[in-house]
Amino acid sequence: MTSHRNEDDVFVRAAKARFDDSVRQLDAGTRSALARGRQAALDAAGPARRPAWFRWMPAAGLATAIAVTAILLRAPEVEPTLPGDTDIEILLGGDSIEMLEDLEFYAWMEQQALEEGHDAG
Amino acid sequence: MNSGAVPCTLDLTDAARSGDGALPDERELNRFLAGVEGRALRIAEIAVRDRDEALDLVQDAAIRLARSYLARPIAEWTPIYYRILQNGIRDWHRRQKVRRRVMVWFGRRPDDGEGRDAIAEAPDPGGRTPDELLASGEAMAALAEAIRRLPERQQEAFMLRTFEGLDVAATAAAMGCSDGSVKTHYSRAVHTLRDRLGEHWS
Repeated sequence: MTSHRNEDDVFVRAAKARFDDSVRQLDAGTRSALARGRQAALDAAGPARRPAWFRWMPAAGLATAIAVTAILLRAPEVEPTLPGDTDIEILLGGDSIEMLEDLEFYAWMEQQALEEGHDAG
Repeated sequence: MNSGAVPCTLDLTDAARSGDGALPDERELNRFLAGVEGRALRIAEIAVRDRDEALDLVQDAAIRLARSYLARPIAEWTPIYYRILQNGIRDWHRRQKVRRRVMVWFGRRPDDGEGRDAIAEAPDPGGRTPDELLASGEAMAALAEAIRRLPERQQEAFMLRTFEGLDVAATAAAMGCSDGSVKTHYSRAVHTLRDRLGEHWS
């Protein structure tokens, strides 16, 4: 039994030695083809090498969007202020539209109107 | 082929999912592939008798390993890689059988290894005499032919255990069968090869 096993071991060692010889004798062209295949595998590994947290990016983006939406919905509503009488008068007046574009002049007119109101009061 | 295999001991699908997210370095993958590809090529070449086909199989196995199983511990890469390669070899044999059937149906004789590149297969001398190289090449050719005549599962068990040096557990993982099946296939393969090659083969 032991002798049989030893003979098996001798055979296996010889087979391994022959096989290793055949690997060492691979020609340059074959080794080059193997290197190209290896490079293709390294290129293919690209997406898989992304960090683990990268996989959670879509979920993190969705969570952020939900949080922002919730904050906006819970924020106290601010009633829009109605335009004052002066604004409406200006808008409905026949003045040139270029005048409305002059913000400094518009502010000055509003200030004047307020002061006149105080004076009248 | 009915090999009496039991369910796979290494679930590759699960293996791909259950990685711990560790980032294997590109150099580690390169080192692994550089270390294994020569032997893998010769194993595939013995199985399919064609170097170009073997090169394709080896490259496909490397790409599939890189794409799907990098998250696994590096210690598991070898059985996973050979599992992929063996699956590729089995698929190749199935395609060849279908191809042969179709060729026979159309009345054509299947191509039997024509177009092999004798120059590419020529040994590259490494300091030994031509006689030594010839003897070594002849012994390997005889061994390869004897291996090809084995049942498919015995071929796999013998080549993974002897040529790649995998232990029983890793061979079982690569073959998708139990440790006991590996031992049986391997033992039968060794005895058959010894009988066929004779006492004076070495």
